[in-house]
Amino acid sequence: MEPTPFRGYSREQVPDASCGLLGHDSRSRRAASWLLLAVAAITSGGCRNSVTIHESPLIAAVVYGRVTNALGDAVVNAEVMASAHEDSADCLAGRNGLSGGVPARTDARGYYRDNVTAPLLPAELCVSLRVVPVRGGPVAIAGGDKKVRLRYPEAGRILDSVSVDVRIP
Amino acid sequence: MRANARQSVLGLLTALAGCLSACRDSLAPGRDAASLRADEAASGKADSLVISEAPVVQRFSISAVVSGSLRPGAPAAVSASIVANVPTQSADVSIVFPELDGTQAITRRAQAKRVGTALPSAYYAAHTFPSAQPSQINLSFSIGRAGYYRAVVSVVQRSNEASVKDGRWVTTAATTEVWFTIDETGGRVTGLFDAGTIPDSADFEPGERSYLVGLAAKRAMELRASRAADSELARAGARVLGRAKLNAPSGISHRVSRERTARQLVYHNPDANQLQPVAGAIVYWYISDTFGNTTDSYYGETDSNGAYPGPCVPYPALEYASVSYALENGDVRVVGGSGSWIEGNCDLGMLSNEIESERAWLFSRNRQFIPFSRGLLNAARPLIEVVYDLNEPLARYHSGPDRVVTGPNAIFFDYGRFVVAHEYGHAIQEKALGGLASTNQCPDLHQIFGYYNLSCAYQEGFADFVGVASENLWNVAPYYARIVDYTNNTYYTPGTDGSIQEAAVAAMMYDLADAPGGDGGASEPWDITSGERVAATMRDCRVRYSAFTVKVRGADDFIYCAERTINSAVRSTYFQTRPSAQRATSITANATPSANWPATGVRSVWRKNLYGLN
Repeated sequence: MEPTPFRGYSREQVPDASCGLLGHDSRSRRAASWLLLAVAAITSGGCRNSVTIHESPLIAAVVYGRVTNALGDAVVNAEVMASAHEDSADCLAGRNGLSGGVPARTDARGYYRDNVTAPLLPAELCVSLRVVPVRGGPVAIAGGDKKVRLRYPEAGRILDSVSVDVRIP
Repeated sequence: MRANARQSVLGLLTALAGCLSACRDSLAPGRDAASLRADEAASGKADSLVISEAPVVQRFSISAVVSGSLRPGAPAAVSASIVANVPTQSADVSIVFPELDGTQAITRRAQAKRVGTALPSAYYAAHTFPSAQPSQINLSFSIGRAGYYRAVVSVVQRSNEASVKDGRWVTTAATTEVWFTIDETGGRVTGLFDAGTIPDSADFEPGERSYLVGLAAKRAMELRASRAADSELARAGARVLGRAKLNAPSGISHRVSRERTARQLVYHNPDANQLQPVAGAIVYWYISDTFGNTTDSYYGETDSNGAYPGPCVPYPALEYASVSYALENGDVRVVGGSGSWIEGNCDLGMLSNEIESERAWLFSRNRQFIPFSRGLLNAARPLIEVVYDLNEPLARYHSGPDRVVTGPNAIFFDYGRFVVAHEYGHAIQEKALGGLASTNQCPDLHQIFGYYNLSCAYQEGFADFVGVASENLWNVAPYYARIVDYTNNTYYTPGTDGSIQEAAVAAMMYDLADAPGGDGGASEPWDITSGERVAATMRDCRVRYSAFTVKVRGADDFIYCAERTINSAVRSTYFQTRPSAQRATSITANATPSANWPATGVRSVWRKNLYGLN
């Protein structure tokens, strides 16, 4: 015997019976033909709302810190990309990140601040940093042992944050 | 029967009321694509935009002829015929003799006229162009001195007609020119500029003829030799133009008179940590002299290495080159993805021009993915507009202007690539696979693993299916490959109703489309290696409920169509989130390719993916 299928959290929305109309029962076609003509005349340009499909916001947190070189001097204008990971091995290696987005850049004193995002439910996730001191040059992977709680960004709500300093060898 | 008819009439009255409310904007006169763009934020009707390969509609077409004996001081005439391809209430028409007016306005060669200064017009008037009827304009003139001249006829739109027609941009101006000589023995019309018309003993410049001696004569001879050598380059230029997909803007002639230099369009891709070429972008440049005359121009696409033949300006003090680019091809147009700069140097070898990363990346990814999706689904849609908006929190597809809007959190890296494909999935469903539902079916907060409703899961599940297919193109991180098929779908919890979860619907579609045994889980006794049947089922199948025939609304309708029957046991056991009055009762049209799907195989796939049943 098959299990009873799970019932969803919300009921199916009622289909758009007006603008989604494609045809009608043939038995009543004659009776309603004049109305069809009226509908067709009025809505000859098409009858449907414009649809905007928004993708749901990502969960997010803030990663900030400073990038310095082996001498401890600030690395200016370095590209810093923070990414969240579910898997700790991936996080240490800085691979298979969940995040996208425009990388941050370090300022004149080597400081950076970046949003890390993920398409998941609010959760504590591992964060890796991908630092490119000079465009096209070697890439440094940092973080990997830091975790931060990512949550939906809402107005007036302060995101959690984690500090990750990076020293470029 | 009478009761049925009464029910139907009531239903249609409801439909009429709904349409009058929902489609109020569609009843307003003068609505077009341009106004739709203007009020994108407001709800309006969704015009289907028909966008052809060529992005530009020429508002005007002009032809002109010069007639007369063409002797100094003798009367001659220029006759122009202007046709408005798009009705235009008001446009300014002018006829200018640049060489003649230039010499009259200033002392020739003693002082350069400032760039941007309008030349005096021999004819200038406003005209109305209500239809495709040609308007004839005739102007008599005489030129007192021998030389090489031209008449330039221009028309510029002044009224406020829409700049978009049928989804294509409409130009606002057009121009044409006719070159002719004035000579004591009777001149002739050459049409295009012909350097051979100028006598060897004369200054090698258009306009009033002057004879040179000494060093000036020597330089004139050198220039003449240089132009003769350019004939080979001219042929090369013609080949480039012949390869270009898109039409050059009206009024741009392709006289090639100069050497060209190697140039490359590049952008910084943070993902790859390197500069990468912008392939397939439009590049247009022209060289202008101090009179504003175009002496050379180019219009074409960058090649796979982002390269294009660039302008070379040997006399920068007297000329300049303006280079423009647009991130656009027949598949995608990145709004705001354009720019221009002044350039011109013949001696620098290969130069790279770096353009903005974000829009260049969006253009490059869409340019890659769209042909891939055509192969995947065997379905094509018209050109899509892509907008990069710093204020967009993530990404969205808006059917009204048929536009994808992407924010800074949804580009670059694995997630960005997934989003490009996912949003294009929405766009192709809207325009090529039967259309989206009339309202967004998902709650504001919805995730790939959430359980919401049949329509949301179907709408987003298909986009996810298209998104994970990009794994084959870009090797997107395994995270996004989780929903490739049942075996990898860790988002789905067996025993739950996967018909309302987008990850489960995406996995089901992938399992219906991939090769047998591709997931090692669901049974697939047939060889399907593309998404063509998934796409055809969405596009072609119709089901009926109550008195209505509708397109596929969710996984339930999709499955009925794929199985080509509505099994009563399935209908009464599964997909219970759809109210009973709205459940499909029959299939009224089917997708032909579905005939190759054995119902038993389809059932094993969806039972596994949506309900965790073997």
